[in-house]
Amino acid sequence: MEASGRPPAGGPDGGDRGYVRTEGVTKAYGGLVAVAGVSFSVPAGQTLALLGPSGCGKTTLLRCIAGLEAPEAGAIEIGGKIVFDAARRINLMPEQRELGVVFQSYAVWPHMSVAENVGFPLKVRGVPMARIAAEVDAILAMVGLADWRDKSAMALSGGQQQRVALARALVHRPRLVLFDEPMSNLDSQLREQMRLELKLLQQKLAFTSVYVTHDQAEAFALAQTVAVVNRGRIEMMGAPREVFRRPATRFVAQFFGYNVLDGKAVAVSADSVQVEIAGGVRLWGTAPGRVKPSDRVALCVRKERVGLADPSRPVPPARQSIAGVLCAAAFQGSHEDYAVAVGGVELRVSGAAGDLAPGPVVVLLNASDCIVLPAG
Amino acid sequence: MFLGAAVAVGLLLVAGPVLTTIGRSFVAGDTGPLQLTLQNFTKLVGDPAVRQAALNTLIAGGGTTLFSTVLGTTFAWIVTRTDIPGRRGLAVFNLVPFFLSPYVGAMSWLYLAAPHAGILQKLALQYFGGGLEWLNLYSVGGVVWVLSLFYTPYIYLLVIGPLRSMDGALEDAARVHGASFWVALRRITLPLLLPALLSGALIVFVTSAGLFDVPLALASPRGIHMLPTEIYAAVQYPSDFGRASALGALMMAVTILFAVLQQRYIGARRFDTVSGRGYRPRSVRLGPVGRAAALGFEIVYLGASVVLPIAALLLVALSRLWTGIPRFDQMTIGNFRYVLFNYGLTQSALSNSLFLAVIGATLGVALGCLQAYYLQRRPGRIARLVAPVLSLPLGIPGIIVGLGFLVLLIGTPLYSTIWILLIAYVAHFFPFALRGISAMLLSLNPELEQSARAHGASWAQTMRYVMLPLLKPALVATWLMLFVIFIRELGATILLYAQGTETISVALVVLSDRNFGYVAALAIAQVVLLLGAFFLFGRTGADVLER
Repeated sequence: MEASGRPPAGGPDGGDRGYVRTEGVTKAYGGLVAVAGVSFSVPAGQTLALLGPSGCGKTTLLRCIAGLEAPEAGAIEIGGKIVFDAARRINLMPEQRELGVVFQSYAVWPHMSVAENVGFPLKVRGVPMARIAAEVDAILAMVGLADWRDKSAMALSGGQQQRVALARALVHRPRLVLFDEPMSNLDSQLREQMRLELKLLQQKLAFTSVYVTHDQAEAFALAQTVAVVNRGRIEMMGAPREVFRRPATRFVAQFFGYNVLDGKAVAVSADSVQVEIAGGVRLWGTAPGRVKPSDRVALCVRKERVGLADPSRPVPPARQSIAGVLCAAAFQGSHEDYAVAVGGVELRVSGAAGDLAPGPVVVLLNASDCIVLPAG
Repeated sequence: MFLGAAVAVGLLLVAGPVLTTIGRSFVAGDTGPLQLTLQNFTKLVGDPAVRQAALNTLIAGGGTTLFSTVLGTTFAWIVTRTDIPGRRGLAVFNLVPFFLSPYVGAMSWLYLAAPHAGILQKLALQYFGGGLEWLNLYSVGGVVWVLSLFYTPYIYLLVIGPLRSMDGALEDAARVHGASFWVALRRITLPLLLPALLSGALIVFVTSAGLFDVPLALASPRGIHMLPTEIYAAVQYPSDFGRASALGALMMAVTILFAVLQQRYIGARRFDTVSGRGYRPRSVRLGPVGRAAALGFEIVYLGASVVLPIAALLLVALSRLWTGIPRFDQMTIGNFRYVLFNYGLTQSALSNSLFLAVIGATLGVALGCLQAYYLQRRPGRIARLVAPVLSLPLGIPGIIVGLGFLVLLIGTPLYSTIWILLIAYVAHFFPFALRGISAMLLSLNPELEQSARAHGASWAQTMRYVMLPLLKPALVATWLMLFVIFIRELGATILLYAQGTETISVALVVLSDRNFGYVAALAIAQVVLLLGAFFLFGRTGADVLER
């Protein structure tokens, strides 16, 4: 608060250039490239989610932004201030970057009380005691820990420690808040609750943040922009609905749980492509990019968009139908998951709980739901 | 049962010397009818020499604690958290003083820097016309200097684990929220190390203040009084066991008081239950200046505690006649030949020490192993009561253990045999084995054992095929540590040895004013045994340094 007022959205630091920007950030450990030339920008007041499997480099990227790792190349700008630039040999210390960070292990200091933990960022900035107390009380009330103010941090549950970590990261109104898998140590019920609470805080305080997670639900719920990271690169970046519904690469489709059927393009007409998958089965799909006949491609379809029907009933004419064998059904409460063998590959299907029994079934697919992407 | 018997033996070994010392302190006179009295204590309180000795001991213990805490923490930090070159090697070398004998250390520092006679003194005189006159090793300061060199690894060992395993996010969280490196060190890292530092400091204070070896070499020759040497003096002819026991009882009372306070304090702030997964702490990148400083600091420490003392011993041992100046044209191995092959005293000292160390370490490990297993499987009120009693001897100075057994067994057939030494050694240090093995047992999931039983193994087969192999690194490491402790033991031995049962350390004391060459040669033989144990220790795979 002392050092950095939050700029109004769309202010001098906001706008198109982005409030937080990275440019070609590269970090390698020995021969292993963890982050390979990542560039993105986040407008003021918005959240970018870095989404990817473990080991994809997303946490390393976050630590580079925080100043906890030094990249080999690239530049990082936060709120109009260059905090790192390899070419100009600028590398601000972590404490000079005016950040808030929520760590995966929470990193709540066990030798301090809740209030001491939360007040730390203000204390090291030399804010007067009375101001610290007031700010700490305000933020603790916001995260629902008002009654825990003077408790030892050791007395807290995991969920409460997480709230302390969150309050600590926000109390000094940092220019940027970084989240490193903050919910991964919570159980699933608490995670859903915290997700909504964090969303509310975000709307109330309008902080800019970068949020690292491997949980797509978290990324979709909290971020205006999702960047899917694979092997140190951003595979795809866009609004949550866009990246989920129209994956641009095979990896993105697979990461979001699509059925990925590898095969070969056999016929192309406009943006429709016919793909021959294992077992000689041919299916029509839609290609967002250019595909030539005999290209190696992957036909990707979400498990909710696959229909199953009893072979004795008539097939709806508008959909493609292929014969399959239902191998297993698993009741999930709100729906049912099926494993269906189609021409030697296994298809995951999610549908309303029905009365299908293991045995022959008809698999129904809309060509518009089948996305054809380049293989590999 | 077998296990219960081991615990009972342990309790007897603790109760024997402790209760004897306390009991004897309330008994007047040396002969005649038993007469209860407080006069042993009232005499102590009125004795200015005792007050001076207590003050000196307090200064020596406090100074040693302060210096070794600072040094040990610094070295642990350097090897775990910086990019100093060769930190893997340094991490191990810093432990070498832990394995050497403080008495030999004090002795070799006298060879190095004794007033007017030490090598460094003479070199300074020769090349700079003096300049080291202020350096008087025969003083409380000299005692603190030598003790600090040898107790630094105690703190180092206790701090290096927490420094390595601490969640790195705790420090990083301070940095990203605005703390500089130094603020994070002061407000986060050091407070988190505090429990380990405090228990380390307590151990160092209690054991260094009670150590007899160094005051014997550096304080007694100038008539400086210290409590351990006062006990020794009281036992010498004309002996006053009442006075010695009263001194011992007071020292034990202080030790126990400290232990209770520490338990209270640490019990209130145990930090190891913080939830959540973390990552390893980051290393600090030292600049060229920082790197040179850290490396220089390491070199000075290892030089002062290991290299210089051993070099001095070698020079003296290889000299025909030691004058304080090494004469390379007059080198001889005659001293070694004499000490190892021709001199009855040193030969029997070597074989006695080896016998005591091998048998004692084996008995200690066996006892500790059985007790650890018993306490582990029966965690209840008995274990809670028994466990603190069984760790009591760790805080009792060797000279008091020796005194207790001396008073207890004088006049029995055991007295003046080697067996009284063996009993005293095991009684003093089996808790060390119990602790080490308990820690290892605790880290083993009990399901490993239950699974063996569930799959049809008998108790004996489970021990043979599952538990012992898993415990082996801890058993071997503990055995080697006991071996080292017994090879250099002096405090208890000095009161209990008799003609024919001298150990290496006793022979060093006995010969110290007779022939420098023999003393140095025998000391080198002891150093070789100790470093051999250190070498084996490094190969056991018992990772004291890794976690």
